[in-house]
Amino acid sequence: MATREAGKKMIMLKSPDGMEFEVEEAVAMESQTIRKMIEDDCADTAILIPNINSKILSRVIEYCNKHVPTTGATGAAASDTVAPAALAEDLKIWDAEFIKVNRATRFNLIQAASYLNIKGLLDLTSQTTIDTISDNSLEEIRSFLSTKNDYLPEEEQTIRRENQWAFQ
Amino acid sequence: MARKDPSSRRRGLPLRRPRDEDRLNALSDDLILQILGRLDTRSALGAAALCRRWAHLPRELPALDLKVTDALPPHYRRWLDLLNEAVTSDELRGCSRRLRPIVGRYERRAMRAMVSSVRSLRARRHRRACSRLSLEFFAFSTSAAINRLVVDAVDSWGVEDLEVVAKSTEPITHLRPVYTFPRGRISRKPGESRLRSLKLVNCLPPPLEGFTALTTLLLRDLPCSTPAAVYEGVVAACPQLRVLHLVSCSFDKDTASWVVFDAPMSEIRELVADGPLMTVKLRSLPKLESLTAVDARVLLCSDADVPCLAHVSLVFSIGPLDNHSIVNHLIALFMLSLKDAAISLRNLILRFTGPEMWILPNLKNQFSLMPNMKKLLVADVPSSWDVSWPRILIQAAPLLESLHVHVSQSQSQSQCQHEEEPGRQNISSYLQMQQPSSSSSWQRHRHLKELVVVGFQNTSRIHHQLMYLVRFAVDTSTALRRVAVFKHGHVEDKGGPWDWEMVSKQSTWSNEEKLAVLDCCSTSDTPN
Repeated sequence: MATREAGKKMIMLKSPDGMEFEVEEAVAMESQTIRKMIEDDCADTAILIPNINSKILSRVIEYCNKHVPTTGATGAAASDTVAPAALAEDLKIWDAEFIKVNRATRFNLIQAASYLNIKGLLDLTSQTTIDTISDNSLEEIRSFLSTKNDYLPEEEQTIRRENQWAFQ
Repeated sequence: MARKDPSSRRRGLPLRRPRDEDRLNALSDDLILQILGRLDTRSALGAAALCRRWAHLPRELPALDLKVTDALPPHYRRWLDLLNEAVTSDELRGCSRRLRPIVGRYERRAMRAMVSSVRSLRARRHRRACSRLSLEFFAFSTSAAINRLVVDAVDSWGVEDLEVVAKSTEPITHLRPVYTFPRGRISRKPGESRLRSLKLVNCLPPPLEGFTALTTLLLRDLPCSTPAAVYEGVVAACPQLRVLHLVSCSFDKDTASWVVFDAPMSEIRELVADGPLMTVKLRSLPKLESLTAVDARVLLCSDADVPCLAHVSLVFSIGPLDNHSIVNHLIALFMLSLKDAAISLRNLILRFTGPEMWILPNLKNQFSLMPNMKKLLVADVPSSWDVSWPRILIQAAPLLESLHVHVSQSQSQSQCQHEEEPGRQNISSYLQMQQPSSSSSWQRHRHLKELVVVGFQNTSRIHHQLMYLVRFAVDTSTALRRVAVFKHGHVEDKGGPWDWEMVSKQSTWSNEEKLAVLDCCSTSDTPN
């Protein structure tokens, strides 16, 4: 429900497991998906966020809360003479701490970031995944992704030949 | 929020089947592709071998980056460095004859691996969807496979951005042969191609007629054997081209001393000439809005038709041994040739990247022609100059709204001290001569709103000259709202030639310094 609190417009977000989160409109609009809903006036009642459980949604909101003011400031013109370098450094440290979660949570965060279209969060979560799997052997990656090699030997050979640039 | 270490969690899981939510595989193809897109191309292609679910994903990678250097072993670099050292030193020259075959063997082996991989990439019956292809190979390659890959990419993959880098194998001191596409073409049906942006390095442009979607062209490292007609030809062949960058390019100076762009139908908005060997004359580019010359000579013909030209950026890097008068001459000539076109000029950037430069006093007159200019950046002004000279520009541009001046701090300390003494003597006479008492004779400036000065340094000459500049602006400008002065900072490029930002650092000002600045401009400014 869009209400007013201390001069700031509030938005109600609902997770499918019935939890409700009241957040500032500016925070919710970190999500391009929600921004579009608000701009298209589809947001006068609570917005239901499908497929994202309350645990993940609360983490997403935590992320948006932290990131909302800086995104507002980066739009400054060339004449803006004070670089928010220290602020950016703080955020980086915060991000690194934020993403220290188990894989299940991280993959859920990727899905949530993609559905809600929050670029910063999607970048953070997918880059972390890449950092963990790059420089590992196929077998290590398989084990990390909890997947099995289900190729027949000749199939695997064909696919390796097609992508032989990877194995040069 | 409880966080568990992933490894300890793994141990706790039953071995038979991982929970769905614990798998990257549970993500949609689009999301996995987005994540794969962050990997280098080789790793991303390799992911196909993980399991069946992933087999088709690399075929849909939106960007492929195939670089022959990825197939070279680390010690190739060492041999190459040795070779380069050998050819540049007299004592070692004899070794280069023995080193070259070794380096050559590595290069040929890597190239063979690449050609065979490229064949297998193409050979599959599966259709690829790829919008960006970046290809780097050795210029000696005569393999048709490379050319066919480019044609495939343009004609059937739907590539929009294509980059072809023909790496030279010659040591740095030698003349480098330029690559030409074996059949001279990169598409069978250029009219149907989606090619939007083409970047060619050490590679002659193929015929570009008919590429109706092509709007951005970058040519780089073309050697001095290239006829000037090649550059003029691409502009003529692609009237829809909007952006043209010529970087480190040269041309055959025996047959023509200028590349002349005379294209009344051209849609070119942005032209960048980067590199000291490029000399360009503009006759007709009716849509040209922004022009950047980095160490290049760019002039407008006397009858130039460039009515939209609004942004000009002239960047010069000058070493201690260069002849300053040539650069002065270049700026002066450009300003002169701008005389008729200057009506639309709104934005000018003068940037000096070398330590030794001086603008001759007689240049003052040439700056008196910028009636529409609103924004001006003068960056990296060497601190050995009279750094107050941007005031000439304030007078020359009556509609100027924003002036940013940045004084370079790169000069060595010894040089600063060295000049300190004679400088100090001059200051008193200098200030006396130019006290604002004469301000009544200065023209009032009604539009300048913002003045930012970076580089207030400890040497008193620079301090005084900048103070003089600030005082000049405060005294003459009736609309001035913001004055900011900083001791340290630099200009940061933000991508395009017109995106820049003045980045300043916090520093301490003594009370004395603050008072001096506040005294000089009794209005709105605060030192930072």
